[in-house]
Amino acid sequence: MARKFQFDNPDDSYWNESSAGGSFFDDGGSASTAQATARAALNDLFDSSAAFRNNSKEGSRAEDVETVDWSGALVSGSIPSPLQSSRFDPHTKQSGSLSATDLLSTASSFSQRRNESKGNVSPQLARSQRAASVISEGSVESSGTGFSQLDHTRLKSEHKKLQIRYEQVRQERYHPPEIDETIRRLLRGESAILELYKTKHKKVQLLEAALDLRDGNVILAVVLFLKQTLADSLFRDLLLRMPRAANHYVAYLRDHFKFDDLSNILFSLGRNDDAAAVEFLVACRKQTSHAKVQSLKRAVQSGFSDPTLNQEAAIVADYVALLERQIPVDSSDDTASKQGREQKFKVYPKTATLVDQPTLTTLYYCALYHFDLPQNSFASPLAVKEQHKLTEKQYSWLVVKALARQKRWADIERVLTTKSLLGSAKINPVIPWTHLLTILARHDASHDTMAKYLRAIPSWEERLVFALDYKCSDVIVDCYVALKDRQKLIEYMSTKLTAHTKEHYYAEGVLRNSMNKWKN
Amino acid sequence: MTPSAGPTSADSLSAPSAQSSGRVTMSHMRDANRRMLFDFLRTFDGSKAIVWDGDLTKQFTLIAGFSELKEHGVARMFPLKAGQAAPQCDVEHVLYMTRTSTDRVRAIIDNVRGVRQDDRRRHHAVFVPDSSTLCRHKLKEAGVHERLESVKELAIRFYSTDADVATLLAPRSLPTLLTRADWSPLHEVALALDQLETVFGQATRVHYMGDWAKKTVELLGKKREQDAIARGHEQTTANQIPLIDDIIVIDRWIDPLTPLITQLTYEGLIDELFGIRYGTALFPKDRFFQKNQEKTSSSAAAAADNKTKKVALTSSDDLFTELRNLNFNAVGLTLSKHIKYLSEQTEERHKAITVRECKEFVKRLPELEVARDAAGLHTTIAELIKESTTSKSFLDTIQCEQEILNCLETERPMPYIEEAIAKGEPFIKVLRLICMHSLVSDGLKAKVLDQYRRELLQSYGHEYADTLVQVQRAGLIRERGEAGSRGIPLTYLSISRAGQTAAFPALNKAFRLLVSDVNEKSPNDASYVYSGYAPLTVRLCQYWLNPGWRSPAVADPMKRVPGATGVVQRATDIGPGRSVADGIKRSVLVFFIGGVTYAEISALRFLSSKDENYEFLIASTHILNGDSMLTSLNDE
Repeated sequence: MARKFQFDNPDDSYWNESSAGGSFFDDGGSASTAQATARAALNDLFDSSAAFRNNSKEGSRAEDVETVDWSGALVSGSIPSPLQSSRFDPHTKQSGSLSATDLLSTASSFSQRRNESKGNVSPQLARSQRAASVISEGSVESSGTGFSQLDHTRLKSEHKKLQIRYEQVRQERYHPPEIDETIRRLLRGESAILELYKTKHKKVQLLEAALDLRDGNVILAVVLFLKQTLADSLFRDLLLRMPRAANHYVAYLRDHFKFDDLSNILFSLGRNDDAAAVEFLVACRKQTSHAKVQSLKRAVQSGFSDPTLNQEAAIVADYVALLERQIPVDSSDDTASKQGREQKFKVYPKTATLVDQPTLTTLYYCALYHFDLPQNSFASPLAVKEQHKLTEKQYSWLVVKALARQKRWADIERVLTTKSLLGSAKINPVIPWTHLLTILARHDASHDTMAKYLRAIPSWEERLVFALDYKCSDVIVDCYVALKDRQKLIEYMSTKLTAHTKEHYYAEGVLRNSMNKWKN
Repeated sequence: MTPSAGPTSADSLSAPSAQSSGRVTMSHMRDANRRMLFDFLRTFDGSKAIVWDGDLTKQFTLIAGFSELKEHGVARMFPLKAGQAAPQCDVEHVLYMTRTSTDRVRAIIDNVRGVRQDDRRRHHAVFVPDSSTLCRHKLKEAGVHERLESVKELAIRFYSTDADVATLLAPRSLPTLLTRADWSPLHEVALALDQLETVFGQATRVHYMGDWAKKTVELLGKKREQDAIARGHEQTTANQIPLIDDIIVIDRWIDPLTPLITQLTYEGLIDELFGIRYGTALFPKDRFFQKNQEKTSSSAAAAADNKTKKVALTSSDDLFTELRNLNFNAVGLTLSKHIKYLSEQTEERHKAITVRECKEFVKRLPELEVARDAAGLHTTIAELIKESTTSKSFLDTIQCEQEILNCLETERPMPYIEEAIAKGEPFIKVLRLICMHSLVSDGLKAKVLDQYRRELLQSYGHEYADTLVQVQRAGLIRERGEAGSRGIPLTYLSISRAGQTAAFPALNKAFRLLVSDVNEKSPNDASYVYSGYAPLTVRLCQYWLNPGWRSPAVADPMKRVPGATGVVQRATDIGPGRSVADGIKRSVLVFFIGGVTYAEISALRFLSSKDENYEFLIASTHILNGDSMLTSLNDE
């Protein structure tokens, strides 16, 4: 028959652990005296509890493994007298005169406490003692003679611990323990019955002690207890007075996605900025883009209406505007792409949705597919620039990228050309030269196109560096001329240029030209 | 089963105090962990299956291998996944092992709910290292409590990734402290330090620097006091000769700037470019010699999958031990010297004439083989790193960092940062630079901050608004002149409290953080790890060694450090433990709350090598770099 000890406390590994083999109940006759003693003591315990069970309710578990449930003790309400005589063997006495009866009443008061606590916090054995009991479990099952001495000592230490625990429990049966003690137990994950603190004053003290300790778990345990047992207004009041407690509660709600409670509590605490941030977060988590737009709009109206959040409100409004532009453009392009009306979608297939892409990506998209639309059109890149207040640099950077991909070199030149007051046009990109040239080269701009932009670089030295990078020989030669560097030019001509080519002739011509002045 | 289990966990942890000779290393901690793990497994009689939380498996490989688990009755192992029912297998116990975290509880609940009615196995939830009240509460709430045989905890806290380094592998501690203002991680640190002192003996003094450190030391004191009472003064660790004389606890947030700067040591760069996790890093496999892969017997080479190659980076590799702390500019030289030496050694076979000489040489062959493999391995890694470090993007970033540190532009956005945003460089990289800019300039001007923010959101998307708030809450980006940036309260008060005094130029002057004439090849100053920048944390440790924090010589600089500082002197009966006269350096443990970088670790090793009396052991909640730090603040 497999028997099983079932202590009320799920954490009490010592009692929970049992061996199906039943070696626990085997006769320890062959073992040494110490082991025999220990086993006798345990058998005593077991017998008494089994006897007990007979006049108590059925064990709570309906399993084929027979369960001996200690909590029966409470139901029967009395401690049977025969047990009182079952004392431990003198051997164990030195570790404390603990009797089985004592143990039993420990168990019953456990259950009692549990009833009081309405099952809210489970009684747990001291965390510090747990490791110890963990080790002793193994020995209970082991039956080799080698372990007997260990068994004995472990049982002794186990008894001692239970005795201490018993004392603890007995003392606090009717009185709540000191607040510090309760907090300490919460910290160690031990049992603590917060419900014993009835008055508001005590509850506040409890919270203060928890806050002083600064452990999030403890603070949260107390805060959740207060939330359950205090009136809403009182609870809110308390959080207002103790912002750190509020922080933990807020983090808890955030972690558990209880966003409604979260916004409510934040607003009532006057933390509008946090509440607004939560509304923003909730909106961002919405699955469909339409729901997102709606939530964001609502957030602008409620959370972000606070005048101190003007800037943040502008960001959210900007986000809304972006989404409202993206949604119609995306859907109309999807249809166009499916119907095959637009050649562009065949050359550059639209693979992802535009909705919820960043602003600059949107600009690139519009420049790629809709560059030729008039500015008042929804998908025009200029309209995107206008509405989202993009800088000239951001605009030309992305547009040049998109146009270069389509090899629309003339349009690129138009974007990068500014007209001066006198009407003379000049290539004056706001993008750094290095990036502009990289973009052009990556999309295989022709030699002439590259040369045109290289020649627009005002500084000769800089122009030379880039021209060398992109191997534009005529520009390079011109640069050497302008820098009056004859030797470098000759060196370049002899090493990099092949004779009888156009470039070589050009360089030769320059060197022969007597108009050119040289510094070397 | 062997009857070696000690009667209490305190005993099973007890220190190897007899081993007072030789260097104190973190391997003691590893041994203690192994004992704890095996004792724990032994408590479950019969065969066991372990359902692991993924991260935990990797962590536990630092403690024991599967074969050892097998020896202790672990028959099967499964990954713990949400939404799956308890795995079917024929065992007596099923252990669900996970780190203490509420979102992992979800997975346990799903598994246990899936336990069939006729299941005769016993199911246990095991939390490492603690089962928090909240975790238990959740199990109870879900109603699976009844089906669980027990809820246990396995208090393995420190994971030693190296001989002189141990961490809690708790990267969440920093965001919890900063964006939540939740100081619970300090309890974990205090418990870990307490455990450490159980293993190494009670330190004579505990020094702290920073508000978190102060609270931690206070909690540690309370814990030890309570334990002493609980034990009834039976056995105290105080009468054990301490292997660690001093513990220094330092807040990461005393110096939030350092992790943002690109590390320039060999190990630091590996972490920046490839990421080191649990003492290993992954590299593109096709770059390594095919030969190396076949030799999986060599500890350094174990192929992970087809594309990547997993390389163990620990002090068991002699060459790596030498290379790891070097500035990358010195790595090439050292490597070529090493290879030259190796080929000289190999050449010796020609000189071997007599049988005895040949025998000697053959004996050394395996050793040479390993050394040659290691040299090949690190040459390849160094080449990979060099590809990155010579790229324009990398060099530009380093230059931008230099410009920021030299306070070249405090009134306007940095042009390089703006270009990086426009080019769409990785968000975290840009954010790193902006954070640096803000910290060094003692906050950004409102206009500059707005410009950065607008461009970031336009380029990367509006969702990042929340990330920016988190980063601002942590104090990494601030508006100048204000304690917090417009309504965003700072969670680490010392940053705002310090105000003018903690501004970077003042700290730089007081601690000589920026060093212009640094020698990268044969360094004479710890600043070589960042090629001319010494982290404040490292300078503090340096001053601790000489002349000491309370010396009048450094009174002025010390005043500028934000946050509380002090020392707790422990009552001890046996006076100073191992004296310097024994010819052994005293060990000092430096614990960084909130993370430490590999470059800082290298700098501390450098200080140890220069000091005659002390040697540093390094511990932390986790090891970080700028990217991982900012990412952890981001994903809540």
